[in-house]
Amino acid sequence: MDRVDIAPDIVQCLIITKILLAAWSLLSAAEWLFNLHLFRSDGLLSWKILGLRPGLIGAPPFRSYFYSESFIVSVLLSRILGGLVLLLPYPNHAGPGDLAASLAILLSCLYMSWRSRFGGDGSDQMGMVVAFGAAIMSAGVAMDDASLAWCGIFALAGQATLAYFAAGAAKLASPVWREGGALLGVMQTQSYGDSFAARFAQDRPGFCTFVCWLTIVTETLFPLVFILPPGLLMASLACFAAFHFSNAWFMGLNAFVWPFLATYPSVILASSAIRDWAGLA
Amino acid sequence: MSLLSLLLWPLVALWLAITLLAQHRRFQPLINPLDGFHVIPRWTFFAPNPGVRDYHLVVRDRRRDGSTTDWKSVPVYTPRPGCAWLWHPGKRSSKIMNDAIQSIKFLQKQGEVGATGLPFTMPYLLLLRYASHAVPPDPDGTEFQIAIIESTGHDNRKLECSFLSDFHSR
Repeated sequence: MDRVDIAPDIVQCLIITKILLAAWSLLSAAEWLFNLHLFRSDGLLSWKILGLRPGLIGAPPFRSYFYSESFIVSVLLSRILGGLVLLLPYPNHAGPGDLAASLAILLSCLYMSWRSRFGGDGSDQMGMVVAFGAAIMSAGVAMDDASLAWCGIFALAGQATLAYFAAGAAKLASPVWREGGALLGVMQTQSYGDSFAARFAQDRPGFCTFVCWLTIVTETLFPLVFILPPGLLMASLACFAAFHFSNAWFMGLNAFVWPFLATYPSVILASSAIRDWAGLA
Repeated sequence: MSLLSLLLWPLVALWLAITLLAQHRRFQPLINPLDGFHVIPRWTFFAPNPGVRDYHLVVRDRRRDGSTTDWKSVPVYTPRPGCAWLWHPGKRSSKIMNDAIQSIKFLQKQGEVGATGLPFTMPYLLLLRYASHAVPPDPDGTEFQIAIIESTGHDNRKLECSFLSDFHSR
């Protein structure tokens, strides 16, 4: 790909991506700050235990500071600062601060993942992915390098596709999902369940099987979004967004919404490029 | 194409390819030891085995005279607030405990560490230390023991003890 001016749709994609990344960064950092007690000596993520891991980086005196509560607070504040910088309105809607902010968020993700080891979830993984993709896109926009910006789009669209497809395929391989028992089983838990949904699902096995198969089929067929016409593509992504909002409502998976939605602008651009290339446009 | 672009395209392609492989159990033993920062995502949410059980950590003391106290629940779960769709920090502690318990069950299933090696593993020590601090000890307690209780069902909860530790000194 030659070095050409960045197309407005790439800048638009970056703007939406970074706003949603900022939303996730602020939310996840605030929730971690609320959970600082977990990192204390008597907490579930006590360094007195997690520090026993072999192969830890740094010499001992430095290590104690690197994993201390004050350092964790600094890392989370840098994530918050990164999120706020991403929300700054630049005259051309994307500015040099975006790259630094995305990298700060990415580094904070890597650090928190390393420090906590336990308790990470899919929203943390997708947040890390989006920060990486946004950093590459920002670098492409800052350097006026369309190829580089497309690399970030490729990363985000690729990971989103893998995420939905792998989730669907793993459910397809599971008898509990195929038989419809997964929905009721999960809804009956305190951790991810919902009492209203559990009572509703209890006497409706047909409904449970339908919802399980709907999840399996739609997730597994997610790669088809790359050949759908624009109208159907937008409708499909709206359905996936509704799926994440319903997971937030019924399962308390609030932090999944923002990073997953942040990949959609890249999916839309990648779909458009693939349809152009395949002569489907 | 800039040099940075030339470097990043194959790197991203490789990342996606490894991510695809990492979704399959066969490749995870190869990839996991090299992925300390969790840069290779696992996208198989709630599958193939969805979490249909809640885990509860309980602890009891053994006194000097050899008698034991009642089991006491170790507080981990916080009731989900009405605004959990927007703000739900409490999910983190239950996820940490779920992960630690799953690790213990995996280590037991794998059989590599054995019953004598298990108390030296990180998830075991993490739960042990947390339980010992989260619940005040009995005044006469000299040793304590933890257990993992699994519960299923909503209105009629069924309880099952899936793990019982040895006694450890206070």
